Amino acid sequence: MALDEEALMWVEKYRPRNLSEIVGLRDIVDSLKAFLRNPRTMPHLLLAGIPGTGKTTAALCIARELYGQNWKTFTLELNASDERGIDTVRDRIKDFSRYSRAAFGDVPFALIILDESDQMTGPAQTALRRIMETSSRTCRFILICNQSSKIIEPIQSRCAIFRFSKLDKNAMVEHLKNIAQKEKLSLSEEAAERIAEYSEGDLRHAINALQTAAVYREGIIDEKTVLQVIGEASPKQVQLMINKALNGDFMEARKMMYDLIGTYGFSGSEIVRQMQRELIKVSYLSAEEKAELTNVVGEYDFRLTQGANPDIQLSALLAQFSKFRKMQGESN
Amino acid sequence: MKDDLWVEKYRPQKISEVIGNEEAKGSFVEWLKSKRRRKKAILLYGPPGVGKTALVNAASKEFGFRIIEMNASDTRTEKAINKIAGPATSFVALDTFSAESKGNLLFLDEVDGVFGNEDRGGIGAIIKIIEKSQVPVIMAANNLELQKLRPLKKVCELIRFQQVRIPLIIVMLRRICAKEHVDAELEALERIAENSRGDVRSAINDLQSLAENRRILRLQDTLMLTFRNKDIGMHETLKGVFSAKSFAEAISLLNRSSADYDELLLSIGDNLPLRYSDPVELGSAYDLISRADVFRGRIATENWHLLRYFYNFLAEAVTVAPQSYRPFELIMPPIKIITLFWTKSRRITMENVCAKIGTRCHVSRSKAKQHIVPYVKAILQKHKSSPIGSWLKLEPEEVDYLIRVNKF
Amino acid sequence: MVVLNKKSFKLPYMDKEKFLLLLRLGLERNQSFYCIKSYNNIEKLIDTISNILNGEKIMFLQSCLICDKDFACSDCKYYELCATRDLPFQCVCPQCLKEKKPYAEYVENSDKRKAPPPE
Repeated sequence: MALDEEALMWVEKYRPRNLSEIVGLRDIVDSLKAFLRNPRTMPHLLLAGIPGTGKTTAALCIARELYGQNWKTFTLELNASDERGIDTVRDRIKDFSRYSRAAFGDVPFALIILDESDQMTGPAQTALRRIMETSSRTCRFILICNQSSKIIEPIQSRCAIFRFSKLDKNAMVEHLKNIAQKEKLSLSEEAAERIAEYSEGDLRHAINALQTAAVYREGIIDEKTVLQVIGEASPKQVQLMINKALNGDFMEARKMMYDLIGTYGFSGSEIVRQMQRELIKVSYLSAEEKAELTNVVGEYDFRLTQGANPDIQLSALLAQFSKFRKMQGESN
Repeated sequence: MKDDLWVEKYRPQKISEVIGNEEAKGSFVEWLKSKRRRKKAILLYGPPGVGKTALVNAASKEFGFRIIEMNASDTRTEKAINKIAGPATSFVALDTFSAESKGNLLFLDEVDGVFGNEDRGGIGAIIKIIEKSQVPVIMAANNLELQKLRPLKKVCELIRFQQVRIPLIIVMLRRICAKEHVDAELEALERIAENSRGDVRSAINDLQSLAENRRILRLQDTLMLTFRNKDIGMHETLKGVFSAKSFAEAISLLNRSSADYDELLLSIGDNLPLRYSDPVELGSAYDLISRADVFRGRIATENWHLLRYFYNFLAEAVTVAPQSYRPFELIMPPIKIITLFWTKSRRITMENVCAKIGTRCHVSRSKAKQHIVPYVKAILQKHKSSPIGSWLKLEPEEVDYLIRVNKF
Repeated sequence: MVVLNKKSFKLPYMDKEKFLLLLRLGLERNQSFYCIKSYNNIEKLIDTISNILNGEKIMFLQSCLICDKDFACSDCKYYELCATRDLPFQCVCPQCLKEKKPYAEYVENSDKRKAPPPE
């Protein structure tokens, strides 16, 4: 692959290539830079935070700063959800560390970036900790996760933890304007604000939305276009679907569910899992209510594995949400 | 009156007039013509209306053999079978047939009706007949429950028939339209063909019922097809159960219904939101349907006796609140989202696309699918030849696929 | 993806077990070529061949009953709806269907084809 091949997705094209270019994470960047001045002192790292806040970018920048142009040779990128289990992870790490031992140059180790590490089960993480230990002479790990609380203590204690926080709205708007300027596009203030609101601190979503809007209307990105993009391309269906169901609009919610299956081919369990994740974020439900609904979701997750028709199970689940809310409303 | 039926009027007279299943036809003819057959019985099996019986009849005309036919409607006891088939299969009886006919064949149609009744001799009786018979035996069946048929395999050759393909059905329908002077739009014929699910007989019947009194058949005329179900039982069943005043009434209706239980499950599910406007009632009903579905899932692998519970849950689901019933228009046939849209090859293509995006954008496949695919899809839909496609190393089919997959 | 000619195709060396399985599923060997003898288990047969070819998707061209030419299922507009797509059956190609080639031609060709399955 050509090294100077121009990346055509803006999330990649405008991804900072070294730590100094990263805006808005001053403290983190300073600490990381300190480690990089003397790589031998660099510990394993745990980068935690909500999506789209710069964790992967930071990890890749570190790789570049350590190894220069051929950083890919000395870096292994893994995703917990892509691998079939901890054994495949172990095999890949073993193969990689053997292969890259050859020429480290100044840097005495190779880099392993493991994303979605909080999605690994407890036992898998325990095994991971052992892997980290046995390969610590030749490898450093950068673990990336959304919730550090989901990482087992023995791993946490072996890592330097950095918390990435949500990008604030103004910083995001600035960023978007910056990109728009470089791409020679006209971006209205309202449009930029809309995108920033919609993305809720996730810069990846913001940039993707910006790029999609740019395609919708050549050269001009206004509020209307942005709303169109959000309506058509937004992957926030699951959130919307839950809200519709909770508000009693079952038919709409079910139609959205059909869309998810029909348009993106999500399986029943994928949707249920996403519902589980989004449920926690619903602001107008109390903790008890969320707990009860979580149990219902769990029950249907199980029924999905036993039953013959995912559409029935998912429709039924949405109907339980509507029923629940109605009953809560009646008892209040 | 029977000649008024197009399925009769256009019944194949020669083997070459039977459409579809060329390979099966070939094997059957080979078996017919062979001087030294390895097995003297043959079983044609496959979905209804694909040409099994038609082929046997056409072959008999072409080869000049006589068929002694038996149908599912006959009483199936060993005695009855022997009474009818016995004489024909004995050496003596051959003299009574005309000199022109090259021979006789015993044809047992819809033979799967026999297999279930173990107490009446069932398969054992058939095997005995095959063994005793002096003439070749042809059998046809719709359902092939392989376990029950294992004893048969030793004595009989098996030939499988598949659904007849849509282009072939269209050719046949066109021919009939030409002869009956009906001017039909291609889209109308397509719709009839698609709706028939490979069953030529029902396609011709549908064509007749729609075109009989018209000179012109348009696509919109065929939209009524969805309500002209093969099993009228479904429509009546649905109407009946939804308006049932008690669980007892609902369950008795279900027990009498000829509707396929999978279709019933989906159809009832589809109509629940129309029946129950109150979210609490709807939720309760759906919970019960969901349990019915779980049983359905279990029945597939375990026990048919669980079917009773399946029907129980269906009956409960439709009678959650009998007093709230108001007449409404039924949705039919059931909407099968997943089977319709998500075939294995589509799923694999999506996985591949996600893997490519994941590699380029440093995310996992599932993140790619949830968070990036929607944008890439939107971009490609607006601008098919966007360089993003090639930067992501997507093949042209993959780009097409992302664009084509539309909102339901 | 591998395109096979149902009348004769080659397969790489395989162990005896697999070979016997294929024969049971309806394949027949003629010197160094294979052909399909029985279509009763066609789906399983194709899956097994696909396994032998390292999981490649196997596709058969369809031969048109009217014009005798070969075409791919993916060219047909009913592809998504077809229960037997990509399987080695005969069909009517989109061209002949579009040109409304009459049933009579279909029958005529059928008559010509009456000889049992080929060399």
